[in-house]
Amino acid sequence: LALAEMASDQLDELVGVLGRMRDAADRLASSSGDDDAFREAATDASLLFLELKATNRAALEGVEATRATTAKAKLDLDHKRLELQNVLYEKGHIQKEIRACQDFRSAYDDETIGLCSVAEFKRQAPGEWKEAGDDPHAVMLKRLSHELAERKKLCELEKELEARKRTLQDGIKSRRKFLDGLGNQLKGLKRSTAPLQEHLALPITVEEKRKGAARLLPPPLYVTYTQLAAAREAFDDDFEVHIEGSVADAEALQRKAAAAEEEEARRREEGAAAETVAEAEYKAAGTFAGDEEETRKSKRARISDENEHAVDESDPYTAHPLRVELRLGGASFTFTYLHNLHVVTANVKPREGGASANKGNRRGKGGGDETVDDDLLVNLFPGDTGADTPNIANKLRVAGFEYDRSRRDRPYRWAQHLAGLDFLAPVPVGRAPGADAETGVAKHQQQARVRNVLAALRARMASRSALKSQLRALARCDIDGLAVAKRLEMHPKSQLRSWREITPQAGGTVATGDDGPAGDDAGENDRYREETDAGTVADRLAGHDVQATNTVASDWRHSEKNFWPPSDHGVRTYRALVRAARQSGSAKHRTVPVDVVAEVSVSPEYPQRPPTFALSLERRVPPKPLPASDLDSKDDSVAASKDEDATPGDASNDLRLIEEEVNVRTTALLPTGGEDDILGYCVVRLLQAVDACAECERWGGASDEAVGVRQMRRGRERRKELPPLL
Amino acid sequence: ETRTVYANVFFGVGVGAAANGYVACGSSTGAISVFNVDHLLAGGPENDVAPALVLPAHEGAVYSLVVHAEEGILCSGGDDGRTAVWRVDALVAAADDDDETKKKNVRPAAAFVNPQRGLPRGALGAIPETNALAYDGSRGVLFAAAGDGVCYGWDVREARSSPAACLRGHATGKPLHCAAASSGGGASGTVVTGSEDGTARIWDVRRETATHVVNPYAATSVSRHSEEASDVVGDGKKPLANERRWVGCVALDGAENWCAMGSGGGTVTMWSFAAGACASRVTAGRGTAMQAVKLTGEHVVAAGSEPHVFRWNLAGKLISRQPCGPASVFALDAARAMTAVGGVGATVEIFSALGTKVATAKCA
Repeated sequence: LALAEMASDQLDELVGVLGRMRDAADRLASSSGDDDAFREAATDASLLFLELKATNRAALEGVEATRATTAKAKLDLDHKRLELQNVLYEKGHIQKEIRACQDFRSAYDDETIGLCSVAEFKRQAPGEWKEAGDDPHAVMLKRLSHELAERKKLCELEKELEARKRTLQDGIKSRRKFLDGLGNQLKGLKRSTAPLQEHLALPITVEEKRKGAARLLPPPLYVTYTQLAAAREAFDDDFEVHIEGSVADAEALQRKAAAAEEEEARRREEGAAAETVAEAEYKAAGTFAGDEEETRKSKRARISDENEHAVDESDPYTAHPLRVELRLGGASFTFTYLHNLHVVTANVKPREGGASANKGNRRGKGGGDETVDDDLLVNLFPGDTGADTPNIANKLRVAGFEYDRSRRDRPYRWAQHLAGLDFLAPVPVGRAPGADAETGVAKHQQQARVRNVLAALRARMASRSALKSQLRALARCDIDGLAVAKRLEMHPKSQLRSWREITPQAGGTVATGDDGPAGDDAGENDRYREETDAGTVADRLAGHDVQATNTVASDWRHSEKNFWPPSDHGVRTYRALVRAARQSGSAKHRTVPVDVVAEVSVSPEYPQRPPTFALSLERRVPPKPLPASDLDSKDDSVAASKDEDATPGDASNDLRLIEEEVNVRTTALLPTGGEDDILGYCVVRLLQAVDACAECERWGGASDEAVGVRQMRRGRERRKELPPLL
Repeated sequence: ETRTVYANVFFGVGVGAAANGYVACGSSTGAISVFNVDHLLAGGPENDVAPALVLPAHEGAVYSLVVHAEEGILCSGGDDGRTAVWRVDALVAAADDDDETKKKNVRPAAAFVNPQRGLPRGALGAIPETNALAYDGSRGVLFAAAGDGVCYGWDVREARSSPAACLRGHATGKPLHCAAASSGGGASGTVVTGSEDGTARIWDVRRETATHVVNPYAATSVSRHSEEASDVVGDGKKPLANERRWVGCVALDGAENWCAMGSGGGTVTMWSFAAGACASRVTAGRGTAMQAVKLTGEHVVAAGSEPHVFRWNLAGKLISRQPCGPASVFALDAARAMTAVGGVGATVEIFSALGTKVATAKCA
């Protein structure tokens, strides 16, 4: 402003100077003849020039000053602008910083840090909370510092615990070391005491070995084994329990099973993994390459494993390599577990000095005890023939599956119960055909199984040996050799002429071995039945009087069915020939002696099911001619004589009565404790009955004299009273 | 246990088309099984039909059943020596009812027990069994042929416990096997019994004496004089010690002109009341003991210890020899053109007039 004033002042001054110069010029022009005035005007004009010059100079100076001022102002401006730019830049930077701060995202969000919540913080550190006041930032800071402190504390704690753990682990390690050493020491101790054990006959080592083997047993056999062993220890019975078979095989099998299980588990895991993890990623990860190789290998192994398994499946009778053997008296009972059927089978063999598991002695058992037969175990408990598998699942798996009856080991139900295998009945118990058997076995199940089974086995073996001795005596036709005869002091007049076994051999059933599946078996059975039928037909053709006895026998069997179904397995049939004693008085009437043929069936359940006798006459007794009568019509007598040979029968009533007497009544006459000798009693009774009938004049009955007032005959069939058995 | 059917008898209730036929069977278990004939026929020949009613009638076997239609009674005799009288209407009602308690509650209307023989020192002998029954409808006396050789007559109408008549004369200690009584026809008041001693006696029940003694095996009439030595037959000199001559069955025909007597030697002898003598003798087979015989008007139906049923006409000509189930036949009855055959084995087979099996009954 000063400058501008100054400039305008100078302009005004200039304008004034110029004005006055114009005046001077005018005056000069007007003073053109007047020197004085001219001079004065000229002086004034020169003065004015001077003044103009000064003014000019002042103006220039003024311009210079202005320029300087301007330059200065410009400098100032530039400086200010620079500052402005700086400030702006700074501002932008700061704003960016703010934004960056505001946009800051931590790698760990609050949740993952697990900062304690405000409320918790307030509770844990109320002092700090108050200190922080309302400012949320301050609160947050306080919280963070609190958290930090907390965490530091925890770290301390962790360190402490780690230290403790280390000390504990050290302790454990030292103790384990001690224990490991102890095992060896104990082994050494045991080894060193072995001679002592031997000397003192302590079974410690043997027991241990056995227990080791028992661990390898499949669960059902393990149950069997432990029960039997426990019974042996508890009751100190005179039987032995052993584990037979190859331990190595069992171990291999167990390993295989374990591997299969692992494999199964892994496969399941893999399956789960494959669903979640993308296949490509799985492959890309180089670290997995090795693993993958492994799985592929194991897959191969699994496939081969499965192949083996498939082979196993095809044979339903694959057995576990280990067997439990029960040695009782002269017999050894072997329990085998068939995996594929999931049943336990029992088999009996004569005991041969402990050497068993030899298939060679299956057939030739010459040296063994005679009381041991294949059928020793049949119907050990009512209805338990062991002919078919008790596991109904087998039937469902393979339609129409039937247990191969030619096998020596059979899945008896008691063996399953002993092994803790309880199979459900396929039908409601009440409606099952063998309901009696079911309840019987169920009852047995509730009781002490082992003791019952052992008692049954013992009883069966005892009665079997009694039976064998009786059969031996009978085979010699030595009635007096029977224990019964000695006891009864009885000498029947009728003779036992022969006694031989006519048990039909069941064709190829035994010989062919495992023909395997179901249909064949039934066929086999049919053939068996057919053969027996053929036998009876042959008998009939041979002129035996079997028709009556046949009916009787079938009816017999029929009525017995209500009791329990007889087993076709192991029934032995004998043919006995009894010659009736000649009568003293009437020898001249009969030149041919009367022979009675008895077909005796001895069931394996002897003596629970007594032997049955089916009687017939070896040859017919020729009837006496009728007294002559003129009343006979001619053609009738011709017809009668023609029919003569075809009529089956005069003696049928008597024979049937004897059958009833022998088969039914004798069992009721037995003295207590004589059950095992029932065959002998029956034979003696048969001879007595034949004696009594032979005392009649003729077979088929005839009038005989009354003795005093005693009635000799009774009833419609003219039943003759027999002398008492005892 | 093997069961044997010793007796079966047809009986009916109602008349004409409304008549219901039943058959009762007595077996060795002592039970009487009652079957409805219509049910039996519906069952067919191959199926065993179970009884509609089972009466535990006797201890020991039931040996004889007899029915008197007019009086509506069924009488049973058995091994225990009892003779029981049952009301037919009660049996039929129980058989047709499904109520088990009603079936269990059937009781005999009357019962008689054969007297025991007195022995020294006050002992009593065994009760003789009742082997056969015959009902004399004209007097209401039920004759029970007992095992002690006496035929006891029980008055059914009075139901006294002591016998109204005793027919003694057969050899003592030898059981009577059979009995038949007239039902008021031409031979009224006549009872025929057959015994182990080889004779059949024809009794006049009013006098309780035997009018004729017959040996059906030899087909001769034994004279009154040789009665004491009854072992002497034929020409009267040779003792027949070794004969199968017991009389196993007797039957009278409806008109009471004929009596059939079957012997243990397989002969069936026809006795003519009109002639008072044996008229003919037929033979079933010398080894066959005759155990049941029936007269069905024109035929003699008989069976014995072989699985056949024989038919002869009255002239003695064999009509048929029909195979049957039981190996030894004890029971035979013919009615309504049907023949029921029972014996060893618990079944009773029913044959039509033409000889085809039409039903099988399974006795208890």
